[in-house]
Amino acid sequence: MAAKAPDRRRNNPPSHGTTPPVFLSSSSLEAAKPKQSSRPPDEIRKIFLRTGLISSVTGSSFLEIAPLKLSVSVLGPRPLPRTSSTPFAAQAILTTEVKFAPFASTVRRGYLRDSSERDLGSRLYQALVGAIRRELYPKSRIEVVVTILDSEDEGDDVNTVYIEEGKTTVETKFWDAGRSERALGVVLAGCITAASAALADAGIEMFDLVSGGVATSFVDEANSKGKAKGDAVSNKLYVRDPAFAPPEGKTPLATCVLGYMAARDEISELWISGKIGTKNGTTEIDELVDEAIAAARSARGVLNEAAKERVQFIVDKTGTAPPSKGESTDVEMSG
Amino acid sequence: MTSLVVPGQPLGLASAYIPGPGVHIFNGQIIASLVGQVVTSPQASTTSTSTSTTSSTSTSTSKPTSTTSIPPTISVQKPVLTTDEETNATLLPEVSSTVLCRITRINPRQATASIFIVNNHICGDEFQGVIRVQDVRLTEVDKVKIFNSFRPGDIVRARVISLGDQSNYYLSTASNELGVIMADSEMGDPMYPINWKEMKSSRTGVVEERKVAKPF
Repeated sequence: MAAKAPDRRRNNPPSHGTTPPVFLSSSSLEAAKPKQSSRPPDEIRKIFLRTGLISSVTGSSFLEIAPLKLSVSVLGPRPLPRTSSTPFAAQAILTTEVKFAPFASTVRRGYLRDSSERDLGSRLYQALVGAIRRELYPKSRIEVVVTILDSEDEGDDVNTVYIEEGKTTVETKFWDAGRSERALGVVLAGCITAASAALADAGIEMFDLVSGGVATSFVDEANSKGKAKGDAVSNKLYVRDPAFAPPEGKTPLATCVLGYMAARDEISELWISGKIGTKNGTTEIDELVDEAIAAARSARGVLNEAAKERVQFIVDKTGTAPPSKGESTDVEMSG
Repeated sequence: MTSLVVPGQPLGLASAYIPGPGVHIFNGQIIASLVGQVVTSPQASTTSTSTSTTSSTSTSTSKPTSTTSIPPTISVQKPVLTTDEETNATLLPEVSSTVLCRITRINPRQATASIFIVNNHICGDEFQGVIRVQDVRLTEVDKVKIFNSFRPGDIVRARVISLGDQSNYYLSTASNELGVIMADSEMGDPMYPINWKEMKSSRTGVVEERKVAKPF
């Protein structure tokens, strides 16, 4: 009796067993690898963004950029947990959570949050916290929960190998460098844009909408070998919203992800990783950041329309003119 | 068709309007902070022209001076589907807002209540509040006994007097129109108020003590 209680914390596998999948060998995978994108480098991929798809939460959004798919739920403002030891909060407490679905990356992920998910969560917090008018919601918390359903990311095990340079045990291929940053960068930019749409859908007051942008700088493959350090500055290729595979014959230098409030011209979150030349460092950073801002501006156009879409639907459906305060003022005037 | 605005969109100079809900001021500009429709009251276009032209023949009788001195209030409102979105999820109790709450437990010092309606809007989550013994009524405060004022299950109209500590809003019923508006007797029968401090069971006629709200 009760020899083995079923594990209720996670989805259990079928009890009768399954047939293991058979994958292609790694050598045959190699051949199909570099998929070239046909869009120009200063053009971002097409964004699909909808709000208000989840009825049980205050606000929600769904975003798709080529392979990236994610959904955002916004809960609150809701009262602070009763039993917790959280002190009185004059401003709303924002919590952000980013979770990859186990099937979202090319290498399967676990159910518990791993380090890159926590990292994305804290970066998303930083991007959003300044934009929300938290002083209007005292003694409450606002929760932003992002679920990533599909991405080009390869999972945390692979990421740690490539992010921490010293730990690289395998010979990296030319397009390996910074690939996890590119994949995570696209994910983070998508998270920021979608979370802004969800917050707007929730009716939470904000100073401005935050849109995410990514840009990567590439150089010719030959330059990266350390032969021609001097002219590496001159022939840089900046790609907005970079795809996972770099352009033909190029090797990535640095990736910049940022959260940008276009109407106020403010950057709320900045994440640059990779190699920036020491000679001309400041201008290189400036150029890279400007490219990322341009990408964020392009995303902002989509974000604006998506934020309006559902409200416009409600306006059309109810057929209401703006609920005017005219009646109350009329009473004042006559009385 | 009125156009919609998004957060960050400038709506006009801060000197030309009084900011209402849903907007904020940045760099001398009124900026929208919600997605929604812009509402100005009184209508901005008519008031600005009414002082110079003769278009406002009907309204210019009572207060022509106030329309010139007081700029119109501008606000952004998010329209809602009237059927199922009547619960306002982003609604929070504020100081001096009138709430309806259900008494959950009592002790000699205070009654704990669960707030479910704020300013005639149903809120998404219930908030916890307390009515301390000194806030139950306006006069003879030291003679008040919580046990003779509220019982668990009573529906009470109250006013928020403080945001309180981290878990409780502080409520007060120290006014004639505040207090118990619905209550059941100990037998579980609905009661009706007979005076400001007593309610009578509709079935058995038993009288119980409550801090009764004055009916409108």
